[in-house]
Amino acid sequence: MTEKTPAPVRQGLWRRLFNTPMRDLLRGRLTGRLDVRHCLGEAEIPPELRGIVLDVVHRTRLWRFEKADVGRELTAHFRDGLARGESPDALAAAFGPLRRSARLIRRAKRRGRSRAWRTWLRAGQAAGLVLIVLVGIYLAATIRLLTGRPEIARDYLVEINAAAAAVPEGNRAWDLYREALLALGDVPAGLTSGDAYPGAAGWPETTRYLEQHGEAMELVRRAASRRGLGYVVGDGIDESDRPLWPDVADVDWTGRSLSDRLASELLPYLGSLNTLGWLLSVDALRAAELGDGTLATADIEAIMGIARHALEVPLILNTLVAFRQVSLGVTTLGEILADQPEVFADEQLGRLAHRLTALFGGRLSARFQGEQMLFDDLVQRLYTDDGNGDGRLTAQGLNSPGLTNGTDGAELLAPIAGLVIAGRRAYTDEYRRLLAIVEAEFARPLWRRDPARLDRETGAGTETLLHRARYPLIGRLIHAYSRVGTRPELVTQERDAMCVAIALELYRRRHGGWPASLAELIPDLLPEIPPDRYDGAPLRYRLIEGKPVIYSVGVDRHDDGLLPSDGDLVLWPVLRPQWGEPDPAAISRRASRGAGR
Amino acid sequence: MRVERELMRGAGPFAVMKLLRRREMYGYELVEALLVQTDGVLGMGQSTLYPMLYNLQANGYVTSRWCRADNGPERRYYALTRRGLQRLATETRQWQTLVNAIAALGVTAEPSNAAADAPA
Repeated sequence: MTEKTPAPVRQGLWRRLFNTPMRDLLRGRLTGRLDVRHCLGEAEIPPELRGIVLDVVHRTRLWRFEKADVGRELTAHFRDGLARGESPDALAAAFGPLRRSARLIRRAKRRGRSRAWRTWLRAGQAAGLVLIVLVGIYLAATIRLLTGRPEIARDYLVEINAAAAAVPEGNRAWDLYREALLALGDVPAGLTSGDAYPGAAGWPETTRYLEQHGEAMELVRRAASRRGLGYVVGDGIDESDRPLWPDVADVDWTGRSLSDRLASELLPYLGSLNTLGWLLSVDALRAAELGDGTLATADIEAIMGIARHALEVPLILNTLVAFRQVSLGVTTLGEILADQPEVFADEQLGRLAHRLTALFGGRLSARFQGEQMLFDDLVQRLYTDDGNGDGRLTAQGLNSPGLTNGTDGAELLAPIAGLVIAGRRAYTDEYRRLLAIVEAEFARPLWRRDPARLDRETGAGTETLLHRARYPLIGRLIHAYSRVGTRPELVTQERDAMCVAIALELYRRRHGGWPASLAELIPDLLPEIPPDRYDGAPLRYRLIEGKPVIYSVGVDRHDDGLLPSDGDLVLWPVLRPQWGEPDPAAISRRASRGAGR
Repeated sequence: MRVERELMRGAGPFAVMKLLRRREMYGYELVEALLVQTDGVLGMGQSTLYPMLYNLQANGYVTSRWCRADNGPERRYYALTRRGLQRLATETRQWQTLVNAIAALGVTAEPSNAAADAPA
């Protein structure tokens, strides 16, 4: 029983307004009947009974109109009891426990509420339950993520640099390249803008520059003839190299992933090798103009040497630079062979042909060993290691420098990422599976490849959202890999065509004219006609106005007989590429010119 | 003699519905009737009666209305609904079966014929 004996409350206008149901207000009645305290005051029951009603009503925590209803009914009950002559004490004693009463009334009243309200309540309860479960999962995931520690078990940087580090000090080509680069200083803009061509406006200035830097160019040739480059990547810029690239930032590499340390802008030596290759190419043209076949041969061989040096580090970027050098050497040779073939002695041509066919063990292909190391390094920084090839994602790994730094909300999303992203073994297996598909495709010659099949097998563009969430990054890596496989085949084709061109020139020297077909080159000058990489048939050959043209059917895989504006690709004679990326339009013009001769 | 709460839980609503079958009644009237007609056995306080009435109403067995009878005070009257009548009939049969079963054990005297009161 309660001890409260509340006094009746006087109901002001605002209180009355506040306690009037909307229905009454709409009818123009200011009843104030939701005010239990006031209604009790008007009911004229003893204070102790009024206290019981107020206490029970208060404890029910029902809606206001429900409380008013309950209060009104309990009041009526006491009033009836008093009218029957019962004492307030007897009525209070007969009421029963207030707390239990309030709880039962609340439960019964809530049960009587509308279906819509109960549905809403159930939905809210379900949502709350789901939220609690989700929060629980999130907390568990956070603990799981925070308690894991990645273990850097392998130093992949050492493995990537193994070949470079094995080059004995004193035999490193890079030492000579550096010396040459410092001696060459800033290369004139005209020399690297595509204006460095016999007959071009800037040619006199180019030849003057090369003559002035003859010693430096000789250093480059000596460097290119050395077995190993000996340039160690990923440890920032060596102090001795700093004058070459003063603009490259000096960064603290502690804790950084391998892919961070080997970003393209951090491999400036590749750009320098490209520059040297270009200078050698221009120098070969200058030598040809001077009738110096020995120097031209040495320059072209030096370009091949640079290509070999670029491959010392097994990264795709290096591979692409190497192919570019091969293409440049082939183009340079092709140009001289087309315009001043007499510059080369037979022996020199034979030597160059052997160098070309033996290049990179005779097979030009994209290699992904370095990329695998970058991936494995990333994985060991992201995941724990259970010793059996598996492990779980770690917060430390996700927060490692360069990975999620600066990403808004990355810390909050990290536990979710830890739940969604595949475990170490599954993640690695998926990467290896997709890489194997790419490598299998690239092991085929170009004419047996099917880009649609590759996309289908790797799931490019069709992978589900769940797959992308479970294996983030892998899709992008594989997509990037799958786009570099054509380049080696095209360079192979350029090289093969150049071997045929050398054989043609040697045939002309022996027989005093061009052969009617390439079959006449076999077996004295060629073991076989190399295949057209686009359709697998032998490379095409035509004599146009007495001049030979070697060509490929091109991407349409149809021999159009070198008609203007067709899809055939002239491989020799070639047009000198511009500095930078090869210009397809210029090559096409050159092909037309070649066909017209 | 007071009835245990567990027994009361089943008998209380049945008794209230039985009373309301004859006519509509208000809370205090029901308390009085239960007290008198059951000789105090099924007597219950407000703390039990009103939650029970609200439950019956929530289940659709009874309905209520506020009414001022003969210029007296305003009261809330409860009446049995059609659904309540069906429920009462069912419960009556169940109680009859129970009483018969208990009687068969010799616990009570002759089984009563409560089913006769059930509505058609």
